[in-house]
Amino acid sequence: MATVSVTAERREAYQTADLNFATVGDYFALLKPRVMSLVLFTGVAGLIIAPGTIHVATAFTALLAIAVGAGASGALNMAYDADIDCLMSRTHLRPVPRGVIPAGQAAAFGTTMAIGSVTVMGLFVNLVAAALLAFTIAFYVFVYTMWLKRLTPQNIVIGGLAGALPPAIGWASVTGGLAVAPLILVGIIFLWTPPHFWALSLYRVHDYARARIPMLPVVKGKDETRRQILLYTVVLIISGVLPAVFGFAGPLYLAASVLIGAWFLVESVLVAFERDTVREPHARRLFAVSILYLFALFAALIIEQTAGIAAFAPLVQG
Amino acid sequence: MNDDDEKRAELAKQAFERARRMRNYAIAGALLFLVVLFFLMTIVRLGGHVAD
Repeated sequence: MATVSVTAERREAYQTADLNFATVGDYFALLKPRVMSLVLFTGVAGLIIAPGTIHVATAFTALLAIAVGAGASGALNMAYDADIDCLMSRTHLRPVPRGVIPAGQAAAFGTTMAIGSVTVMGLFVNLVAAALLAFTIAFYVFVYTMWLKRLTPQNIVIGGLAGALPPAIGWASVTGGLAVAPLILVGIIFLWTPPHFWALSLYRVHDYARARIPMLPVVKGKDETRRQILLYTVVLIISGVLPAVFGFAGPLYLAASVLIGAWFLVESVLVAFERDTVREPHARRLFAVSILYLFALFAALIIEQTAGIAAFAPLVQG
Repeated sequence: MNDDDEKRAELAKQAFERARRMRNYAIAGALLFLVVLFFLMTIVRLGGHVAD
């Protein structure tokens, strides 16, 4: 009997021999850690440049809530998009399409974190920040993921608002309200999103087409996408200097904005005149430069504020 | 089951148990972290008169 029992146990274990179970790392991947880090970084910038004081524990809690809220959005997105994620080479190894975390479990995980992060933000920080966080999560999940993503090539343009809001949440965590400065930062990220994701979609166009996601190059073609990237980049780079114009950024920020903005523009022009439309090397580089641009802008804001570098006198009063 | 199958089954079982153990540690750690955070934030929200 003992032999039978051991064998049965091993057979049961053998049935899991494809390692079809979730590790802590799989749950961590469900949070989209790279997106979360960018969200957190821009949230920190909003929190640091806000006037007024905040207890260090409250600031930590606010940033934790922003990070967990971003992770919740990622988990809910992956739960809903499992059917298309498994069709794309970029996403097919995510935990839900790989089958190690059931979609329902990912949805429950995301919902718990979403409710938890908003509750913690409301109880320990303030209600405005909590409302903004709730709006951000709801917009990303319901408006972008469930509605726009599969409907229109403007999906990432409108849906980009969700990813743009963290500086406003950080600002509201300190002040309990909003002002022109955080809205300018929101605007910069909002304008940054289309060239960033359209660069990606240029070299992943077959992926998106296979999954029937109506990204701009799939619906309108690559030429139109290149034009739109260039257009948005020009508007973005002009908007990128507004923090200095409105007097909440100084020389370091302006230098980063102009220099890396110029690099961003050069890469966009190269994408516009790309000859290698199969491998899209310039779109790949533009994607990387776009991340560097946003990182540099917000890093400059944080460094100026923490190092006490004075901002320019405002040319325009906010 | 031949020897290879049994070895693979044993490895799979060990991997499964290790993953389950690590998930349990992660949940325990997260809960402990939340307890400490909630305690600290309650003190911070109550301010300096917490002992009154």
